[in-house]
Amino acid sequence: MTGTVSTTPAASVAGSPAVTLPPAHSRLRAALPPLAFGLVVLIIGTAPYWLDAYSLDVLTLGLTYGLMAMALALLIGFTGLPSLGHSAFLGLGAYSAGLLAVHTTDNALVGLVLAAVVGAAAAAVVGALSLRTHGVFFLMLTLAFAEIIRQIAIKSSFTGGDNGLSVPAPHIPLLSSTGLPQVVTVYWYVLAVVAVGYVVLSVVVRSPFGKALVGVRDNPHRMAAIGYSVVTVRLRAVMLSGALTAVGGALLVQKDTLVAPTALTPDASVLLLVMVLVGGARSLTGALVGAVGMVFLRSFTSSWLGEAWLLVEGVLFVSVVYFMPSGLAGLAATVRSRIRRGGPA
Amino acid sequence: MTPPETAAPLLQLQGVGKSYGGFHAVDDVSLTVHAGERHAVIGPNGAGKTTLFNLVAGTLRVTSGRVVLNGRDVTRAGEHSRARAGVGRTFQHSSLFTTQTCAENVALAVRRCIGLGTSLRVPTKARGELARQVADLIERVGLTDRAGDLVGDLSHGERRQLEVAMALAGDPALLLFDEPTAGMSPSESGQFTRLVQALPRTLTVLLIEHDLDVVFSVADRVSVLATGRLLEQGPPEQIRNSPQVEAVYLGTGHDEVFIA
Repeated sequence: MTGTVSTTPAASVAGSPAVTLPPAHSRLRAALPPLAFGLVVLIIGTAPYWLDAYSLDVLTLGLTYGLMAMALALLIGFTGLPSLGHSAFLGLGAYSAGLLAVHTTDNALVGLVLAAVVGAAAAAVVGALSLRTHGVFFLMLTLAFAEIIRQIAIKSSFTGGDNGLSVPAPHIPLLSSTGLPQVVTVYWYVLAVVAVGYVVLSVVVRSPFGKALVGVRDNPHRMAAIGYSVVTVRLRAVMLSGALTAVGGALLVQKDTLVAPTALTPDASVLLLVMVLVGGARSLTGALVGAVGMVFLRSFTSSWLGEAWLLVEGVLFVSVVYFMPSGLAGLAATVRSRIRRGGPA
Repeated sequence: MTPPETAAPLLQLQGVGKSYGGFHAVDDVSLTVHAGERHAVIGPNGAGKTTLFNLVAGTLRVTSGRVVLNGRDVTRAGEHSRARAGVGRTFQHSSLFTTQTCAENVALAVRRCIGLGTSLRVPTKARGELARQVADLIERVGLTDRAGDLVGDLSHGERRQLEVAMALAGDPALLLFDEPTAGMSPSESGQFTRLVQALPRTLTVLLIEHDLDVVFSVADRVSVLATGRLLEQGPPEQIRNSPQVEAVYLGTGHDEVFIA
């Protein structure tokens, strides 16, 4: 009964000053974000029960790239530092976790920790060498660094050279003993790691540190004048991004039980960049969605276009930059504010 | 009001210079600002005022001489280190985060000053202190009514006031104002003068200013720069009546115009 009264909000506002209930459609609007969130959790949580093995593997890959895309978005969108060589951190993570699995332990979590440490250390070196100067030097150095890492992977014997490195299937604590198919355990494992990464990054961008990142992006001089060390703030962001991207790389090698130098080409860095820009560099969720979407798009188009799928990627990239500069996240924000402002939902 | 000559020197510039190739933007300037003093630097366009100012703030490094703050040599210290050592500044062109509210802008400065600038969370017990300091600073510059408004919606004068609030965070020893009344209406500029006059004498103020009315109503001492060199220094009355200063400002100023 209250519902029928409140569906005419204009009349009730005009008629009586005592408006007690919000209109039904505004209650619906308030309920939408949690509903949408619940729906997404339901879909992702039940994916192994209704997706075929191939699609589940693609989704797993998408989530892995999602973690790396979020790590890159932290740099590009929040700190204002574009990196053209994030495949370097992917590669370092993949090879360090892979070598650990070959030589020492197949415990997946130990591999992740090692990858994070290696990624952060490498990022610290790249950052220390380039961040005192202009942002362009960071961009150029990341590009060069990625090529160095790729050449080492190709030329060295301990990395398996061009053939890459085959590693044993990882032992995933708790999950490996369940007897579920490998593709399913790997899915749960990747989902859990990416979810932790998402939470960590969400906490970071909302924290005082996250606000300092945005401050450094928008106005480094002002930040220095109120006592922030711009170099230190940027360096920490680069290290966090490097560490999480390396964790993503470790997930890749654990999922595929193989890593080859082809994963470290500039294409990989560009793909990450496109994922971030398509999703929206200033939104973690956007970067994640962009990555999952791009991986599915690549898997569908490359099955009948082969290498020409890069053309699709290129066209998409140009279109997004031109028509949708804030990416999917920007589009979602526009839609949200339209819904909030007027008309029944 | 006489300048506190007997007070300890807070800022000492000793033969400070900044050269770009063969061009001396600031040339062998020695200057002492005592604690509590209001010191104005004036001079025609291209005299090197802003360069000198950036040498004090640490935005630029000197190519010769020394900068001593509170007895400590900060010649090699970067901008943020000097800010932490007690130098607050405003910018010639308002430099604020326009998509954030006044309170958020000030909070960014306050968080840094209470050691939480790059923390992952503000501890519950620090929240009250943070909010109190932000509200205090905003009240001191008379922006309480606008605390929750976006900086983008503020007038030019209000932005200048907000700059002062950010510069005052963490109780700096030295406040630097870079042409604070540039582009202000006469009433805004009068309000700004009163704001500076109301600052406690525990603060030392160094300002660059074009508006000589503001200079003469605020400053205890005035330094005149021309072509990067210190031309004359003294109390406002002396500067006001100096034939040398008048010549630089009104007379054969053409040489200076080209040195930007």
